[in-house]
Amino acid sequence: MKKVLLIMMVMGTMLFAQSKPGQSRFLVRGYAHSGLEIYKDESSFVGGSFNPIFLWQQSDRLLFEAELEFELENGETHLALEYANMSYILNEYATLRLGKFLLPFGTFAERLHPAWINRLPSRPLGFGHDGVGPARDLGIELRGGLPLGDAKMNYSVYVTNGPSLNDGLNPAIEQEEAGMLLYDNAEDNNKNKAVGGRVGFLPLSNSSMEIGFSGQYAKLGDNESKYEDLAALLYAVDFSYVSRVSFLNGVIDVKGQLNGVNVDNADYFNVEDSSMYSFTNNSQSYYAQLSYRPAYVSNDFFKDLEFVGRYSALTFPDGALWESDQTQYAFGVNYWIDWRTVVKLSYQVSDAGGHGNEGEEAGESTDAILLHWSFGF
Amino acid sequence: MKLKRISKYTIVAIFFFAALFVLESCSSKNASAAKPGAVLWGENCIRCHNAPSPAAFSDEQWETITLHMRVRASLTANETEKVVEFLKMAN
Amino acid sequence: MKSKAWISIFMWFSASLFTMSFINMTASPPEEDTGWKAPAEADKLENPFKKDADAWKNVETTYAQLCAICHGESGKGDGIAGMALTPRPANFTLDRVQKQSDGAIFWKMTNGRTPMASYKESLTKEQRWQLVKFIRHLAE
Repeated sequence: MKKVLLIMMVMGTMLFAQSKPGQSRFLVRGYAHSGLEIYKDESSFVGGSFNPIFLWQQSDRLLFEAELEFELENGETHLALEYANMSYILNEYATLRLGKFLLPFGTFAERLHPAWINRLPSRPLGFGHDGVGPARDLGIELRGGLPLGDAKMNYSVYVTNGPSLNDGLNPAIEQEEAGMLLYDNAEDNNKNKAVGGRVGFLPLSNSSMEIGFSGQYAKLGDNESKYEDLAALLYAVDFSYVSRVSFLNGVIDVKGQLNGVNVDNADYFNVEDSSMYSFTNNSQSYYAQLSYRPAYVSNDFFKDLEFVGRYSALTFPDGALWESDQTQYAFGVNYWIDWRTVVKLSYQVSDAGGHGNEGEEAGESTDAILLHWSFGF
Repeated sequence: MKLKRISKYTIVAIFFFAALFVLESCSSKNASAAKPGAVLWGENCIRCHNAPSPAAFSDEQWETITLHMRVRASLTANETEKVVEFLKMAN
Repeated sequence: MKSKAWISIFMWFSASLFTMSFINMTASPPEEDTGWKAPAEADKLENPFKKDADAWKNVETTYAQLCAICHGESGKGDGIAGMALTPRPANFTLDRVQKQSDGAIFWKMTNGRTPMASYKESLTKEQRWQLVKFIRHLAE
């Protein structure tokens, strides 16, 4: 808590400093949300989160950006560093980034997760914490965009600490999740660095469509451990299409992403019967989302509404103690107060599939009504 | 098995586009260079979020924000400059 | 699971439609008039292309490039970038716009009012007057 107070103080001073003009540009932006969530047996107002983004522009070429996340979790204020990195513009088509950054592994984690951008109150299955694939990491990245005649493309290549392996031998982390990857490692556990990248292609001349391919390769195990040479190949495919549709008097927005994690085969310790066991360690998750805004109807209320539907699915490896097969439908109606303020009302049905996690009954489905209000600022 | 195949395709695709990148970066024809700032603002912002109202920020603030978004959205210098110019004209 | 989901969807949408119809009744009247008025002296400005019926043709591309992203290709205020702006981009085909004098429209284009940009510097006087003719043409 002390830490939080200290940071609030520093932020306060910085905000004050903002009113004085000078050569350095400093700006606080960010986003926040809170809401009401109703489940079968409980309902709660949720404090949501508050995510200040600090932008410090040193020159035309040099920008520092950092995002903090303040979140109320189990009665405590939880603080996390979402990213903190420096971008240096090398030339028209290339930028170097150093530090902790959102990984261009697909587009959801990098571009679409903020509360005022995500069209639904919840994240798709497998795209939140304990998901499939990384969201952020520490390292170096080269990225940029290029024109391709009438089309455009963008690229990113990076070297980062990369994921590590839950080898099931450390009692401090869930031993039954042996074989699962742990992301967002502040310190690397081995000499090997993860190498990855993304290429996005915008084939239409009005940039309305984007298809992206991401990949990452990393060795996972601790130095000199039995898993030292165990490697993982991670991949993602993302899609986006935003367009006016005349006959619908509005705008449609299609988004989707598939994430996969393939880990080399290995034997793991089974905490349940103290034997060793093995499984094909492949995980996958994906979502497809369609939203429609009747933006050009004459009715003043309807023109600011948005209808959203999303399907998402998550598969953890068959035969693992953490195997799981989940699906979720989410439907929502949003009301846009202005371009960055939205009230989101949604209904979602989740199906935990054959084998649920943590005592969930097999095949149990959980329904929820979520009402969130989100601000970008 | 199926997953392995998908990942192979992903790698092939990455190489394919990497090759395109090398080949086409030499191409002189360039649609976005001819587009005015208003169009670039409209087309690029909306790929992820609503096109922001130019009124939301001051000239100086827009400069920092567009630099931030240039990196995030992988825009070129030319595109970014025109977007800032438009936002300053309209705020 | 499937049928349950569909029943929920149906109920969900009925409920939201009900809510919407309720809120709709209490909503403020459509904000047709944004209260933006050009000064009276603007009405006295004479369009040099007044008699040139084809003047709008010279700025077809200019309109498509600069204006259509917000005001829409046919001028109905339905360009993709305008959907989240306050106020919404003007629908040029409405009487509210067409009843204004050439000079008033020219003045607004010249000076702008956020989020509408000022085109004093990026367009020549001739282009702006021709765009006024283009706006007239859109309502034909």
